[in-house]
Amino acid sequence: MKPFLIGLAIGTAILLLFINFGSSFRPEQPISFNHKKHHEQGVECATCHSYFKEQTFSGMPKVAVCMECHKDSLTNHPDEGKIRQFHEKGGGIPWIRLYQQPDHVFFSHRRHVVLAGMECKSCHGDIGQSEKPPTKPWVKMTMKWCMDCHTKTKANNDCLACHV
Amino acid sequence: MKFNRRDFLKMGGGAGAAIALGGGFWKWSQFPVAEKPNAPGVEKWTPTVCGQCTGGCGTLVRVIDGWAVNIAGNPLHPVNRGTLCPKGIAGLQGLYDPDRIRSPMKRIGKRGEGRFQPITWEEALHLVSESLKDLRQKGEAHHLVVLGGRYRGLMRSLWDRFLNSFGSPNYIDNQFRWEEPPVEGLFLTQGIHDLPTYDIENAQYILSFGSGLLESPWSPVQMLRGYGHFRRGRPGMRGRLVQIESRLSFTGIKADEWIPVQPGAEGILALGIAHMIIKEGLYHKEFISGQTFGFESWAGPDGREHLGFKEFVLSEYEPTVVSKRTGVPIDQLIRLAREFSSSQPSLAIGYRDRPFHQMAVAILNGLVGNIDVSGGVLIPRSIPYQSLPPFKEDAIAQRGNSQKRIDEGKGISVNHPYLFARNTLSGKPYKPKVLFLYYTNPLFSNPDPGLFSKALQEIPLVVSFSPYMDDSAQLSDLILPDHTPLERWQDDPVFLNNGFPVLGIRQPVIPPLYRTKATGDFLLALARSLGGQIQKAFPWNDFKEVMMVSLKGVFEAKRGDTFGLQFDEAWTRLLQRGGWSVPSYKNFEEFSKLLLDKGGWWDPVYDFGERDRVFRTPSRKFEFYSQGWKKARSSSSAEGKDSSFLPHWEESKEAGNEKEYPLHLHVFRTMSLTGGRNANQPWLQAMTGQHLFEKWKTWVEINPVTAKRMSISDGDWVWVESPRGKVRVKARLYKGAMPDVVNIPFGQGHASGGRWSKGLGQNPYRLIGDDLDPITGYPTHGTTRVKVYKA
Amino acid sequence: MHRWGMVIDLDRCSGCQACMAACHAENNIAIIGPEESAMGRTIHWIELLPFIEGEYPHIKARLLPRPCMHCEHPACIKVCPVGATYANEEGIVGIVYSRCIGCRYCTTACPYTVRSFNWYKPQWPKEMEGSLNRDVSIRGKGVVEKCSFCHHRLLKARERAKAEKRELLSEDYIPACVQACPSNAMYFGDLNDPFSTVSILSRERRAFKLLEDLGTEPKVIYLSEGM
Repeated sequence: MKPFLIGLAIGTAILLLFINFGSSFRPEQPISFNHKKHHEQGVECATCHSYFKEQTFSGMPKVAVCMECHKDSLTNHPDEGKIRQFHEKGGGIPWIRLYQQPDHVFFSHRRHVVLAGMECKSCHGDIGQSEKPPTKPWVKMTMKWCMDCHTKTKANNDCLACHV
Repeated sequence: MKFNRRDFLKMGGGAGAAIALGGGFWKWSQFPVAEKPNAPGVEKWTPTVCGQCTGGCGTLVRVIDGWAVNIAGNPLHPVNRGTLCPKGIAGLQGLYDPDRIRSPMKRIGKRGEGRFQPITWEEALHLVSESLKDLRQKGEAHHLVVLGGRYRGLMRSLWDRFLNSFGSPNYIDNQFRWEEPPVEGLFLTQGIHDLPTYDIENAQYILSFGSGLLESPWSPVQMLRGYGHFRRGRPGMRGRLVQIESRLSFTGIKADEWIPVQPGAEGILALGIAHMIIKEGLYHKEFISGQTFGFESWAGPDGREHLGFKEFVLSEYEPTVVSKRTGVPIDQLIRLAREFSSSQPSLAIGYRDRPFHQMAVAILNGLVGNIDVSGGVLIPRSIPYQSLPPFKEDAIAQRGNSQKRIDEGKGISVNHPYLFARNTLSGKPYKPKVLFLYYTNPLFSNPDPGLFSKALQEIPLVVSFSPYMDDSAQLSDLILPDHTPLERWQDDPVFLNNGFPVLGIRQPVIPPLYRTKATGDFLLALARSLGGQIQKAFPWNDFKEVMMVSLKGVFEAKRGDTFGLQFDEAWTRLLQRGGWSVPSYKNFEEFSKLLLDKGGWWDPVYDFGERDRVFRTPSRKFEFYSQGWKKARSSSSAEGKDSSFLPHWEESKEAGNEKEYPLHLHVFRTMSLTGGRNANQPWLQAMTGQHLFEKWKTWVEINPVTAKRMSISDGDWVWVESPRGKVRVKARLYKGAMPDVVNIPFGQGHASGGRWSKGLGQNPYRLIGDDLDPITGYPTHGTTRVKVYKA
Repeated sequence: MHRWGMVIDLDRCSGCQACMAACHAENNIAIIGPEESAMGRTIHWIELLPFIEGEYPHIKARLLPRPCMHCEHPACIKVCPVGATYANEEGIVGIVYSRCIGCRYCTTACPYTVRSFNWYKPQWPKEMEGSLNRDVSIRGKGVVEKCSFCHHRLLKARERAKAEKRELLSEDYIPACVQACPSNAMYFGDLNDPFSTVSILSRERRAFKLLEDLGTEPKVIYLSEGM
């Protein structure tokens, strides 16, 4: 029996290693974006994430928006040139999405930001003060985490509100 | 610690178990149950005109990230006011049909083998243009034939212009179908060659002689909206509907009364009712004496006495005679006559039966004076297009145009697609060399499609413009796919039940998905490549430009307005009645912008009492005795009997004798598939025969008593055989079938096409022969006999 | 609190099935091909049901569009072992697909046969995938689905009303079938409001409900044909 248990332990270790490897994936954004710098220059969230007030999604920054300021050299940051490269190549900047809801969940930015008057901070943390792009979501969005807030603020807690 | 082989295996087993259990759990916990269809995107709604049938409904298409995601009715469009029929909604599946033709194609296999090779548009243009140049060089310009189907608007003018400048008289209209409103009936009584308009919203009583009001009207949404209003839209008044038809159709189910008569016998019933109305003196005496011709006996200019309709119908169509032929009891006949004349306004609506049977129905409206009145038969004004500038025909074109048409016949219309097919086979007066198929699929949607199949084999170059691989495209040499309606520019002139003219604008909602080309644009390119006077006749860059030129006339007409809410409608009408026209636009730019934003233009006014518009017969009156037809006939033959110009009924010659083929065949259309153009759209396939829960196949409806006699049970597979051929279909017992009539729906049985239509079901038109009615040049309705036996 | 309900006037209804097609388009209902259809596996959230009685030629036939009745006392909820189907505060009977285990007790329990089961993972050709409605999820294999009164449209309407700082009006929210109906035979609105169109119509002499004696109290009310 003992060898079996040893084997079981080894197997579990391998398994955990794999799962851990999967979840410890730390994505590197194509451009090392500095939220703080932009914020200090007076760039609003909506300038780059242009849809969060009207749509379910907030939208990733479009290269055309970047180009409005970074068309010519503005800083001496090594990543600045990449913007122009992406622009020339066409097809936008391949940003990596960190915040993703599971497929059976319907989430609307508009509903949370405009109608409930929530701040970006509530879900995205102090992203405006970050100097480097985060590599993982600020919070693990479990249903419990959603519902805690929904209960506290007496928001809609009908299943159909999120699970359409 | 020492491991032996056994221990090692145990250890492997343990590790395996851990991975299997743990991994399995991990995987399971990750397994999504629901999926989000797509990432969200910014949406936009674009107004356009539906192209799924000829209804002309305005739609709003929801476009997200370049994808058309949903189709809704355009609330401003007066044809449908924000609603749609199932076909309109399925328009998305027409656009995203995975089996669309994606580029021009050239046949590489044998004819009909279905092997094609993609080519470029340059090559396609070159191939067509070379063979057309060749025709002209040989002085055979008239050997070019265009077979055109069911569409509307300027494309038709463009085809005519092209053929005229090229030198061929052969545009053949292949639009005829039995389920249409009675076009010939309107011509014989009012001298107009168009669809009659029935103001059903304001009628109180509808006597429908086999018309598929609720399942196959030419403009479904408009008819259904009208029906809703007819029933419940007027407080305190509910319209009454009586359906006379061999089969209990959806119209029959929804009607207050269903009167079964054999297919083709509706006309004699109409004459029986006319007899009773006249006998009881229930007709509209003022209208009859003032605005009709041929009711009483009359003397011609030569002094010859002619038989009047009154005398004729009183002597020929006694209730006993009519009752015996139709099986409708005499008291019911009398009741119908009284109801029809007392519930005013009332409408008699037929279908495209034999012309004088249509006329028998049409004169009922005349008898009660319901012509050009609210709730009666209306004649809409046409759209004030600016006509295209004149052009010169060169010598070759003049010679070609002066040739006989290939389908010359003796009908009311000049178009005889069946004579075209027959003459192509016989080579008299000549054999066509090039055939264009535009918006028509005769190998599927004409009765006796085999005839067209044989004819097409005889033509050296067949070019199809179909965006889908239909049965006729399959047999072509070149396929030059058109854009689908949601990808192209087009005008859509249409009219409302209450006679208002409407001009819908179809605009692209997304860029073309594939390498297709609007046929209008191709035609312009073709004209350019042919050079000379032909090129000069087409000075425009694309079809949109042609459209804009013609729309100038609408702008300058100083009538009507771009679409608006119902409130605006009343306001426009009020102003126009007072002699004012205050449209919402000031110049042409504003006009064209509003046209695209709102979806179109309309003129919400109907002018009553313009007799020159309403009666275009030689007598300028409603004719009980068709002088128009007499005039057309007199050139070709000696003066016929009086009765042959009066509404009369004649027993049609039947295909098959009663002994061998004991049952009548009735082919009907369903709301979802109608003409079969939309058969590759699964939403529609899933609801073809909801009254029997039938879908995705062809069935035959048999009366349960008849079926029992033939020992056929519900769901059996049976052969339905006529003298022309046989089809294997599923037998369904239906109490709404007459004991001696079997019914088969049309729309399935495509030999080629997409994954959702090819090889499904059977085409009942293969059972029908080409016994043509001499006046319409089209096969006669309801004359095929069949037998049914187990497969 | 709203109490959403529907009135279907059978005298206006022409049996055209626009409601069925509109529902398919709105709710990403799976395409069930000929073979599966022959096994009775079609999915329709609203379906036109025929009732044909009598003998030729005296036949009384009736066509009845049947969505989910959203009963006040739904039979389906009581039998669900996992709480996947429930009625929300406004009386809409919903299904949480991620909870459904596919036992189909509810399909059997529903006296109106409104529920359908996904025997396979719904699939669309890739040419069509982008044209699916993005407001509604795609169901997976092994879950039950049915009409939701286009609840996602209600959420959108609420959102719009709130953004415009006003109360939700009854015309803000109608399901896709009601919007499409060409003969205007379908009405939708708040049954709690005694002056809404649906309330007024539901008190008409012609009004009836399906299988009333079961005590399910449907919120879909029919108006019969004829005077």
